[in-house]
Amino acid sequence: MLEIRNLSKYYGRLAANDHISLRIPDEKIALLVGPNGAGKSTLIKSVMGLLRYDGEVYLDGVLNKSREGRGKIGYVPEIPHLYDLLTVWEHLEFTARMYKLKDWEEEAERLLERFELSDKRNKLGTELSKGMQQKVSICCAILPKPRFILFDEPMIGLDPHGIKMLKESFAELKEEKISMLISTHILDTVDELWDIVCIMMNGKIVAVAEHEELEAHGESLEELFFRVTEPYGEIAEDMRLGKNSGSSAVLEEERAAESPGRVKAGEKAGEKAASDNKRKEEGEEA
Amino acid sequence: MQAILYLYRCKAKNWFRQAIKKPAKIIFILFIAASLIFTFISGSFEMTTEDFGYFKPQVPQAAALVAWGLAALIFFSLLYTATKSGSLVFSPADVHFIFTGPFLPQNVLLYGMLNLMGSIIFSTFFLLYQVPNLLRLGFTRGGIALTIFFYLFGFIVISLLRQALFLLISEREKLGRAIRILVVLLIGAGILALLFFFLKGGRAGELALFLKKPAVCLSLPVLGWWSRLLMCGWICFVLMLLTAVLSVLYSYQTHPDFYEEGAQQAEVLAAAKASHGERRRVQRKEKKVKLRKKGLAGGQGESTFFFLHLLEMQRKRPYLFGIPTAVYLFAAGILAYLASVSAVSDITAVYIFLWIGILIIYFFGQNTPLLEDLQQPVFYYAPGSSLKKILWVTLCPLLYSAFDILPGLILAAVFLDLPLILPIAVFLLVLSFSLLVFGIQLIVTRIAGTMEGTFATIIYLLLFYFLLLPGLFLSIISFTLADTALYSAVLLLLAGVVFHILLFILSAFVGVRAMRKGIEK
Repeated sequence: MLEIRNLSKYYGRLAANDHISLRIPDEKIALLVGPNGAGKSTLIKSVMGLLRYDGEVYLDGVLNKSREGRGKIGYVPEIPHLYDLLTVWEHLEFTARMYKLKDWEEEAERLLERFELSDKRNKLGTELSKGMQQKVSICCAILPKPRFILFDEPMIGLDPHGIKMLKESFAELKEEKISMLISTHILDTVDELWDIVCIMMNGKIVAVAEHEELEAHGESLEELFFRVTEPYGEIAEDMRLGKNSGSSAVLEEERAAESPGRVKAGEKAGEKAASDNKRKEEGEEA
Repeated sequence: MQAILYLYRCKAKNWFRQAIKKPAKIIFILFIAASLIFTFISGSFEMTTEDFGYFKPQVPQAAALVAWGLAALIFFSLLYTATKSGSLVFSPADVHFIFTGPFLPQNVLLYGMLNLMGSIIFSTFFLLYQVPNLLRLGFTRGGIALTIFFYLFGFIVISLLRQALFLLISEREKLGRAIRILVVLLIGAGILALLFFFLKGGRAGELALFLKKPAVCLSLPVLGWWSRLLMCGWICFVLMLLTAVLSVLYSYQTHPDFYEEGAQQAEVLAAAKASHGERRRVQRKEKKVKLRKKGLAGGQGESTFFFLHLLEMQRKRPYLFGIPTAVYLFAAGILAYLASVSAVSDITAVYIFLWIGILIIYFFGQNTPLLEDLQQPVFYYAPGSSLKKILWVTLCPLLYSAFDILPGLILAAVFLDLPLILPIAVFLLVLSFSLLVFGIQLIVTRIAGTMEGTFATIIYLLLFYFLLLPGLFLSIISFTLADTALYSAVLLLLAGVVFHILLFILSAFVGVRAMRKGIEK
């Protein structure tokens, strides 16, 4: 289980992640969605231990920054960076050696096959296109079969065929009981595979919903996303223009009342959005 | 560790494979290696120990000064980078794989340190070049081997110390700032002490005797120990070893969290590497937009490029004076002072000044308008003769090179009371060297990476080292030996200048050919 406890990350005065607490149970696919600049990548990097932050992140009760913790997570960054002087196969072998894997070759072959990289196995990192590099990066993250894989905008740079392959891989990984946290702003990234969705705005998780719960209410992910994120935009715009944001707050409260428990952080949406907006402006000034 | 070794093995193997695919690279490496061996062999056989008899009494002093200078330079630069994230040298791929891998943070830091080992090994070439001189200075072969070993050892110890220091201050901002200030103050104090010592009439020999004293070496931790070690002081070896052990022990006791700084540093390094060309293009574009607003001062057709760069230079240096002008003036002042206290002879001062000129042209000439224009599409498709364009563009940096050296040269000539022909000779030589650099740039930029380009570079270097420099030295020596040689020396110098002008025009033709090919494409 991935557990994020009260995680905050500040860049100067700008709160990129603001007191985030989240729990993702085992064998689940969690989607982290939100508009640009919401703080998704910062959260992913923090969970991966690549940033310094306040708060704690645990993976099966182990701190994420410990050696053991790092062994439990795989990571696919938004922009893949491969070694210029390593071939595709050598990247996989290097990963296998890092994680001290045994009999990994067959799995590596299968991954290369799946991502149509078999004919590129002897190509150097520099000789690959961005999309190919992303595929190698995904293969390297999957190969050690960690308990948890973090995907930061994994679809970027992939062709439609690559996207299809990746979606199939998500399904396979889920079957293999590997949990995933996928940051994206492409809402149909995992189609119907996802279990939990976390919507981020202005560094906060403003809504968490489960797939079944959403289906029971007959609402799509896209509808939820716009329902949660658009009023904030309206409020922010009103505030920018100096208008009263009360109406939007009422609207949000009404909506929250209509679907209790789904919009977690929306109880006083107007107030929150106002404070978020203020913080954002302060951050921009800083 | 096994994975890291595998990574290095693969990198080396693939680098070699890539090099085989590009023979130009291999030839260049072979050329460098051959020049190293050539230096070693020629140094050993051309001169005997007796030739250096004059320097013999100063041998230990010279060794002490070199050891101290080298140790201080490396010690302070490494210490300073420890106070910044400069001690974290990782690539974005390292961030992707190593940072996220199941490694102890201390091991990741050690891996980062290994990344720097390449530069350490490269720097030992400096010592290898000095082997013949060290032999003549009285070092035994065993002594030289030990010196090289101690040099590498000291470098590793200081790198470990730097790592420990970085960990100590990584989350203590105030302490880090205090140490940074302390390092700067120490460097400043050292430079001031040296200046004071020489201004008071101190001699290099006296300084060396002072720095050789064991008490002085032992009282300065690490820096003094390493300097002493380079002169084969065994007690310092133990002290340095202890420093290394303590640094490693401390590093493994901390809980370092350097990943954010490491990732940022890697991004910055990668962006700088990748966008170097792009950034320069943007800067050039911005510059030219500004210029368009103001308008060019003159020019028509091909000469527009000359006026364009003239205006750029005027904007960059509104009062004509630039960094090179200041460096020349500073060098002339120092040399005039040293000559006045008889620390160097007049002719040595001229030599040094000439070399400073060549270095300035070489380093400041890396970013000439010619190179910038060769990367601009407009330079290719603008109407006019390609040769004329190249010649006009070259005129601007040439004029500035001429202006840069003049104040310093006049100052040196006045204070050193040089015969008029000597500053004129230096002036012409520096200008001809400018042409040589521009010519090389033209050829290398146009045909870099090809066999043609590599051979052109090698031929240029060979011509420079085996034809021009001996001629230059001979001519200057002839000034000092007898006045009767004056005419032949001047002729030789003029021949050198003409030779360079011809070479440059030839280079221009190569550039023109390449440009035409580019336009056709």
